[in-house]
Amino acid sequence: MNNTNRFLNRTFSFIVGLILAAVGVGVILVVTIPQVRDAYKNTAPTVLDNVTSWFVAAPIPGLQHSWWFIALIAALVLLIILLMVFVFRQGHGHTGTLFTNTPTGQGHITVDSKVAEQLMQSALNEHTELVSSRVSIYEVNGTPVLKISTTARRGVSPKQIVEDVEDTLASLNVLLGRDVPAAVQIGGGFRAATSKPARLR
Amino acid sequence: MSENAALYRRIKRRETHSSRSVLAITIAVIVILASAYAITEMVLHLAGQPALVSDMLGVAQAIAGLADYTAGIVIAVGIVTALIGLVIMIVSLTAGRRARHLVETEKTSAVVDNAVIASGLARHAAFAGNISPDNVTVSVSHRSAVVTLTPAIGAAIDINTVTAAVQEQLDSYALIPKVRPRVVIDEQRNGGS
Repeated sequence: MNNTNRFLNRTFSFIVGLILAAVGVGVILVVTIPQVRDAYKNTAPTVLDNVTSWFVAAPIPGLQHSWWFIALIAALVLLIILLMVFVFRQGHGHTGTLFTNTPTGQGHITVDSKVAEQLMQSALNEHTELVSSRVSIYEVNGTPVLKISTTARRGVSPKQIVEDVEDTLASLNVLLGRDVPAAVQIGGGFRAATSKPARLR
Repeated sequence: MSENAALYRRIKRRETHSSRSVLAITIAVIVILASAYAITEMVLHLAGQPALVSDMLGVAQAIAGLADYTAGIVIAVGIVTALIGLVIMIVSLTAGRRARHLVETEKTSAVVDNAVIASGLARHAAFAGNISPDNVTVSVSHRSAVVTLTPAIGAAIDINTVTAAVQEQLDSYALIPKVRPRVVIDEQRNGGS
């Protein structure tokens, strides 16, 4: 429902996994296969010397340290910032405006998400087969969608809940004068387990 | 509803599959911490302070001397690293189906947790088998529901009645994909209530 970039999540995880797997396999190869081991023993110190000489070759004027440290620190800080943005970008997608109608000569109307949320919420609170329900508006592909999360009382038919919610939704649509797409989610969980079970109907 | 078909397809897909954000966030946080550590070591080095664990030159030398360490330890580390990488790759490529079913309906997208289906079935199975709901366990997976009844000693349960009741419930739930019931009467540990 939210606009988490799932493809990015998977791509990022896959690349990190690939790097880890490659490093792991590389380490195993270096120790187990004699040819690889010899090649590594010959090359690694040379590479290290080269890198060290780069560091020495680019000193900060007046100090004995290298510009490369500054560059590395800057790169790592940039990486941290990018990853922070990535982490905080997860979730989201709530919208505060349900819809705005096309302006007429008399002005235009904006309907707040709160209107639909509270109307649905108070109507659903009447239903005894629900322990609780939560209504919010998400924007999916530019369309506002009503998200109705409910916790079902133990033992009730999920189909029954879906029908009840859809009846409530139909009333809301009549009230608003347009069809709002909706996603219903029925869960169990802790509150369902600790509340009174439903009576068989 | 036809103008919203693509919208509902997307919602249904996203409601029934994991976003893999827990994995991605965990990895990101670990990388952030590692980077912060590396920055700390470099800043300490620049400030002429002693390193916390080892300065960057020490780390580089340790990596260059990899072939000289005890083979067993290095192989173990390599295998663990490769396995972690492999698991991450597999998790990032698999679908990550959540324990939920779609409910067939025209007007909305509706998903229901398997736990809710199970509790509904348990109640009706207990009623049909005429035993206490405490003695019924139900586990619902993607395509099947296993209903286990544990009757008291001497109590006979008509398995066909229970199966019919469970089947009738499942039919009325209109789940996608369809769930097939399997009723099991467990007579082995029937000493209890």
